[in-house]
Amino acid sequence: MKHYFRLQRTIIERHLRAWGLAPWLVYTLVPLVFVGGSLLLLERSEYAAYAIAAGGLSPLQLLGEAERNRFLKIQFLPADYRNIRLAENGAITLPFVLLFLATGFWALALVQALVGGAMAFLNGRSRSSFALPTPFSRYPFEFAIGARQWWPLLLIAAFLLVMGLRADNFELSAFAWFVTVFTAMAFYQRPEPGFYVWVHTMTGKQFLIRKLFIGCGYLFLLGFPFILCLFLFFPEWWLIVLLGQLIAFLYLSLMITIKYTAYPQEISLPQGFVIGAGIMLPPLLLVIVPYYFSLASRRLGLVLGRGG
Amino acid sequence: MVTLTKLSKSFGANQVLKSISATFPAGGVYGIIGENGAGKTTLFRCIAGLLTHEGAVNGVDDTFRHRLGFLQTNNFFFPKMTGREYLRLLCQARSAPDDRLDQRNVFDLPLEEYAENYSTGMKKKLALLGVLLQPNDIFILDEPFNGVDIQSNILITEIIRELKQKGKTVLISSHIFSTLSDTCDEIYLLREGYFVKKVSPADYASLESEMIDVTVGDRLSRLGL
Repeated sequence: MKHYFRLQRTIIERHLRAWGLAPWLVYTLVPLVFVGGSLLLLERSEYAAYAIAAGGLSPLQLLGEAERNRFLKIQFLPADYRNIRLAENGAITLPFVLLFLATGFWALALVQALVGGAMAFLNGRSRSSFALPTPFSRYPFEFAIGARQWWPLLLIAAFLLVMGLRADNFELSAFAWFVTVFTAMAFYQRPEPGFYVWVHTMTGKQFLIRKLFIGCGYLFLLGFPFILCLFLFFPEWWLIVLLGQLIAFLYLSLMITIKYTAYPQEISLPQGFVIGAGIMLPPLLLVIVPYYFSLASRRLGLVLGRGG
Repeated sequence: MVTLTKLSKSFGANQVLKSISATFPAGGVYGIIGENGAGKTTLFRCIAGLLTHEGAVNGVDDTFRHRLGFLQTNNFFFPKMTGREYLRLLCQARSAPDDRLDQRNVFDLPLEEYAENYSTGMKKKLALLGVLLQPNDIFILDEPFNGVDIQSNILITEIIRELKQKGKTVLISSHIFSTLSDTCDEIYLLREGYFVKKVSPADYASLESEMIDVTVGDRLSRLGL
């Protein structure tokens, strides 16, 4: 068991180094960013606690993945397997529980601890013949797959919206909408295998325009119920909502163009900083997006063998 | 038609393909055989343009790769992508119609289920169907018979014959000799980075017995069964 965790640490550190990050730096920064970011969010709205709680539960879903657990069950004795799963879930859940205890969210701390513990005993179903229907199947693949993988977060966003509407809180309702925007951006975080780009009979520019067009169309579809509610419940904020939609399109465009600028590699740390800067300072997007569009077109042109 | 001129490919110091030249005219089925690691998949990936290489790969025009369908040995399917979505993606990528997928689902695949959960043979059939739905003139089929059931084996053989009838160029690799001898106009033996032999149907039997001799050799006696 000790060897297993040592191996996990080695694998994680390999990933960090591959991203150009020193492990000690990550071990130092992650707790600071977690605590600092969470306190900042909670200061703005206490409802942010639900989003933080959801953020703490999503990695547990990955740890409970069926194939992974089948492998562990085969390799370890039942008691060791159970301890591994409890230790893994504990390591993820504990910081959230401590944060909620320190900030007075007692009930949430208890729920987080119970759910974290319970999920150590639950393994995801595998080989289910049921495919979650989505409205995004017409033009695969990012939104169709992403919505199926990230549906719990989308559900949380819907929950936050309801809370925001009930509390007549525009900020929380708009935040819920942007949870869907950031979730959609996550659909594009990993590069697809070369075949999925190569197979297109298009130039790099055509490929990218198609991706942006489909992405923005589906982003609007995903956010439509939120936008509608914002217009109906907070009509005086209509201009802000429209501006928000424009920014959402630019956020997604930034993600897509940077993804294909890095392609076939993963998005690098400096590129991650550019995404962060674009999110923090939306006017910058008017410059950054066209710039990365041009880089990504050229990069894709090489992969497609048909020029930019 | 596909023409290879002095095609070479190295991975670091390891030269996998060594100045290969060959012509595959349209309306023919060409088999590529070789041991594991002989470079068949590398050759196919170079022809498709998925790998950079030295030498040239030419078709009838510069856009021949727009009409090249590539069935890979191991096809990647995204988690939580249905079979139908995969087919749609491949059709849309080549501006092919993506309607009537149920009718054109000749392998009776469960298209509403996640492709990732398909069996090995079903995955192969889904990937092959995707390539067949595209308007391709050249087909590279890397081990199309691998893992598929006997009925599908028969159907794939007939599909390859039909492609030949339609004047398409088909390059196939397979570890099952009979599947190649049933369909191919020529078989190329790839060994140590070279095409060491090009065999026509009249000599398939002697090629097979030669391969048995080379492959089996004294190995059975060494095993001491």
